Amino acid sequence: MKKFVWAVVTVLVGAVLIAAIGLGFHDQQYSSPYGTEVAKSVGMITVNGKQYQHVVLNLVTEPSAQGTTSNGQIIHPGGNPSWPAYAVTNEYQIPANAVVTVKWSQYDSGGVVNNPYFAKPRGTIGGIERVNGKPVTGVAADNIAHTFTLRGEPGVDPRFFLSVPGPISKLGDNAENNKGGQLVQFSFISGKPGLYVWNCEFPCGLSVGGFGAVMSSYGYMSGHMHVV
Amino acid sequence: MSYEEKRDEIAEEVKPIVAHTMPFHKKAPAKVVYITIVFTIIGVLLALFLPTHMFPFSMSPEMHDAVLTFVVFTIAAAPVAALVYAIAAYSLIAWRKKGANNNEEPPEDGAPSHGSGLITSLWIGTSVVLVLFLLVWGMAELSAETAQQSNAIQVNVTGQQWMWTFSYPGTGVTTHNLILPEGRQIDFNVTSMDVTHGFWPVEMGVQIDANPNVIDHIAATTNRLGSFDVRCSQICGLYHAYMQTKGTVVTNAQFATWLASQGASSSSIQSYALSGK
Amino acid sequence: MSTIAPMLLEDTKLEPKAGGFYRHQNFLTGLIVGILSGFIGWVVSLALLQGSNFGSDMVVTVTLTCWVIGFNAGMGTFNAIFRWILGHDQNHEDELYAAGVGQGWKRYWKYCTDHKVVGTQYLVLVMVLFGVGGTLAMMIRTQLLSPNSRFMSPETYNAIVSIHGMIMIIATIIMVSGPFANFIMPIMIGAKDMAFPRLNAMSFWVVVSAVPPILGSFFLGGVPAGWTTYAPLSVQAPPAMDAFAITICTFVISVTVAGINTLVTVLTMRAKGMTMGRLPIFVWGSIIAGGLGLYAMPAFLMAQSALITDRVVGTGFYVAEQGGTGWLYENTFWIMGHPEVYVILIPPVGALIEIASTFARKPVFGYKVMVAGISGIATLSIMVWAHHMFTTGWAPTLADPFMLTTELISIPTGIIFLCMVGTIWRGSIWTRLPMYFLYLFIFNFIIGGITGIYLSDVPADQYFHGNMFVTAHFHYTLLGGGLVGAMGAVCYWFPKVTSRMLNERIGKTAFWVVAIGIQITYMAQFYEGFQGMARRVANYNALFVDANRVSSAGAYILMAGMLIFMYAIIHSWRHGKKASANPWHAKSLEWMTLTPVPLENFLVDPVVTGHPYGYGEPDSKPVAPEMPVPVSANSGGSH
Repeated sequence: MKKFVWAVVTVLVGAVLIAAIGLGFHDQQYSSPYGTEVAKSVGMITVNGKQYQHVVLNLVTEPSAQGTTSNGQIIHPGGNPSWPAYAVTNEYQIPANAVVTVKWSQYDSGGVVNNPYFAKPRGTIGGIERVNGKPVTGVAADNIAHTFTLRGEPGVDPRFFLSVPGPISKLGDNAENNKGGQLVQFSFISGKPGLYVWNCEFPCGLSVGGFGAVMSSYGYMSGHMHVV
Repeated sequence: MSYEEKRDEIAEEVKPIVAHTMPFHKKAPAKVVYITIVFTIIGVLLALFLPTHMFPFSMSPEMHDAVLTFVVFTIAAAPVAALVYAIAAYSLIAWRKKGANNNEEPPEDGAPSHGSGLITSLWIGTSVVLVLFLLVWGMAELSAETAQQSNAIQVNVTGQQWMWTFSYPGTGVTTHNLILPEGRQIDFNVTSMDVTHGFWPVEMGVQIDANPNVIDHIAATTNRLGSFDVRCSQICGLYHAYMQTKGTVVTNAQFATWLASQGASSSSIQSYALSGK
Repeated sequence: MSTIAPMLLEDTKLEPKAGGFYRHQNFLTGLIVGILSGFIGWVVSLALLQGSNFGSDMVVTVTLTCWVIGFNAGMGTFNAIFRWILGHDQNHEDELYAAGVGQGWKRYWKYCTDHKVVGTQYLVLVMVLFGVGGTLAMMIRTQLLSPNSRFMSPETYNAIVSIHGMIMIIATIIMVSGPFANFIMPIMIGAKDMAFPRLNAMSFWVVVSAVPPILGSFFLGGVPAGWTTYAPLSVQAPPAMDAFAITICTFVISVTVAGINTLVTVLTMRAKGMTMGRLPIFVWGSIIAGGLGLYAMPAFLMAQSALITDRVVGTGFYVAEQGGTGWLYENTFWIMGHPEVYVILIPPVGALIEIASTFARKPVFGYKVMVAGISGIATLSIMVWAHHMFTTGWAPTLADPFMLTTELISIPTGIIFLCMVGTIWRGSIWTRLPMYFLYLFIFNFIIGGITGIYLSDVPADQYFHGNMFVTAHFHYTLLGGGLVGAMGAVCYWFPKVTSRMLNERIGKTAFWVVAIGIQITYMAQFYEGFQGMARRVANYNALFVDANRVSSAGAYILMAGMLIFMYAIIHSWRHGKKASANPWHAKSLEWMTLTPVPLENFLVDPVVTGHPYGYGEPDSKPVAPEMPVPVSANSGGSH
């Protein structure tokens, strides 16, 4: 009998040990250590004869993850200086079934996107985006810095899809943080509540397809959109 | 313990227990056959009734083939598994050493048989026949699936980290959600822009890897209206799990309307949708 | 006799002769030299290479290579070579010291040439590796408890899936070949030791040095590519991939050395009268698996070396833009990968045949057919690799031939089942713990085998490939078959290895928990596969949630069972009842010698006069190991 008590103790100790290791692997990415950027409500808006709540979300992309944004916030704590990043946080929050207007300040350089499909705005209202106020139906495929591409987690609103390209900085290849920015503005109707994931479809990393390094490391060119 | 004692102990322990003339149960083979039959029936019943509850709704003959293959192979394998289980189970029940806690000492030795050429030959012969059946079945289905049909249309599939895009050659239409016309063989031309992905339209029952700089072909015929899942079946890095989208099979008329809504010219739709016919 | 007998005694002391610094080498010095060497490699490569295109990959590669070489230098792996080069070879006293004489438990921490010490070291290492791999499996199952889990990020999850896979593959390759082909196999053939005792020690310590790099991969960005690490994804991956590749290259060296050692030992070191036709099936299994490993593992070395050069100098073997192709990696990988599963499976099958014969008290059914069956599996297994590539688009015209070879393999596999149940049939079954595992093997391996048939059929594989069905299938074969067989082997040879009896009450509790855990975990995964859930996904549709929860619950049960089994081993090793020399009253040679087994195994060279399965034969004679001539292993040679 005593042996069985010890067998149970072994199982419990093992379970505790594994749980402790599990806590080590558990990461806080979904609760965002850098805070969550919540879209600000700006009233109501009518699209296609239907009334929606209207919110505004701000995005910033910087050529170097090290440093601060124009309003002094750290871009990416501990960020690799040679890697670009979506600034301040990669966790965003918007209300469900609302019109979301995104104001995206794009400061990075770029080049040719892998797939020209992502050179056009997809899923925005009217199929357009505004670059510095000018409405366009796409950006030249060789003039793209990043894209903001959003879709639901498995099972979350599978037909929702949004992808918007951002043109390269006015400084071209000499892009610098917070200088020569392009203001990209677009609106979309958010889907059902749930967690959505976004990433960049421009090959701004290294190695095969340009998707190594920064593109394959969570948190620089990828993150979550909490739709509540 | 001295060496001599140890030696004697070993000598004592390895003494065989005198061969026991264990009575051979004449009815044992028959009983094993009965158990085998019962197990086989259970296996066949499972094979016949479970798949409809397990597999997703079939959207193509290829998917139907996969399910049918599963059923047929299960039925073919059931007697083999049943026989092995029956022999093992019967031996354990009939011939295990009885007497609850008296397990310290070994039982009397079993029958000193070294095997049987007849049974071995029968066993190998049966497995050869079964293997030939499996092979012929697989080859026949494969050749039927790869046969080119006259109404085939082309769809170009591009995998990239971590997105699928589909384009319809000649129409200039590219989409993220796959739309297919009903009752057509679809030739998927699959490629990748970076690493290897696995193009898997689940309910269509086919899959092929998307490799960079290579175009792989796989065909499936749509035989039902409805939607299906497209997943990536080859781990492709960070967002592999999110690399999925929806596909929809619509009528030919709806398909043409949809292409037009995506900006395809009517002449290109005409030549595309009629291609192969 | 008088010159040998003292060797029996545990407290034998060597003359305290000065043996140079190498007598002071142990695991600790290995660690120190390894870390120092790695540090120097890091500093130098950082100074020379940082900033170049492939800088961080080169730095990781150089650092970890230095660690592996440094650890082995510190351990004493290269001592004999250096001494030989310097012109003073080891003398007899040195050899005895190297074999661990008079060092008590400390010899387990040293570069010890005694095959029994190496076998014991392997046993502990295998348990540690299963502990690590199992812990990672628990992480995976915890993540998959809910559809869009928040437990781990996809990045962490992918890294865990990859390392779980590779750690388990390493552990299963060595789980029987390591402990038992080293400890038991030489005794079974009446040898004094392995043919190359120093290479034997080397094979162990090289594996040990391979473990830290692969675990270090978690701190280098994580391997995102699964254990198969298909290129070009693995070319794109973070520096963790370099660590992974270093581990593989190191591990392959170990397996190659061990394989050669096993083969040469059996071919040249057999006792008088131990003809090839009298070898126990386990010995056949060990040499066939060893030989198959010699064929298979170099392909892995090639695949991963080319991957390293792709990564650190940009050779582009696998990169399409540079004219390479991922199919090259996939082919070399599976040329290793398919024989490798039989390298894993054949030794446990051999052990289970020994168990079947001993506990059914019957000779093996169809000895020659069984040997032919194992050889047939090994031969066919080198011709089936592309069935892993049915859906890769590579050579569609080869689908039919590979379907043929793959399905042919079910014939020799059927022979294994025939011999197992044939041995049990009309046996007089002694239901001790090892026999339980034989039954569990038969149950699981039938399921694992039959589910393999669906995967061998191209049209069905079009659905099941890359799907949880595959995951469940190979867990049923490698865990339900291989690992269960290895657990049976542990129970069977435990008295010989540890001189104590395994506590069967705890062991049987563990057995039932493990048996039930396996069924729940992997039956649920089959179901996920039918439903269409892809493998290696960090998040899944809510559609699959029920099956995943059941599978996770099963996995927790399985882990509890494994922990109980571990407790049974540790407890019995320390406090178990003292074992006699031959507690199973078995007939093969390893039971004919003393327990604990003396240095060089037998007091007098045994002479074998028959096959090792003489149960129930009236003329089967008792064996006295010290009998001058001839020593009979068992029966009077009726076979």
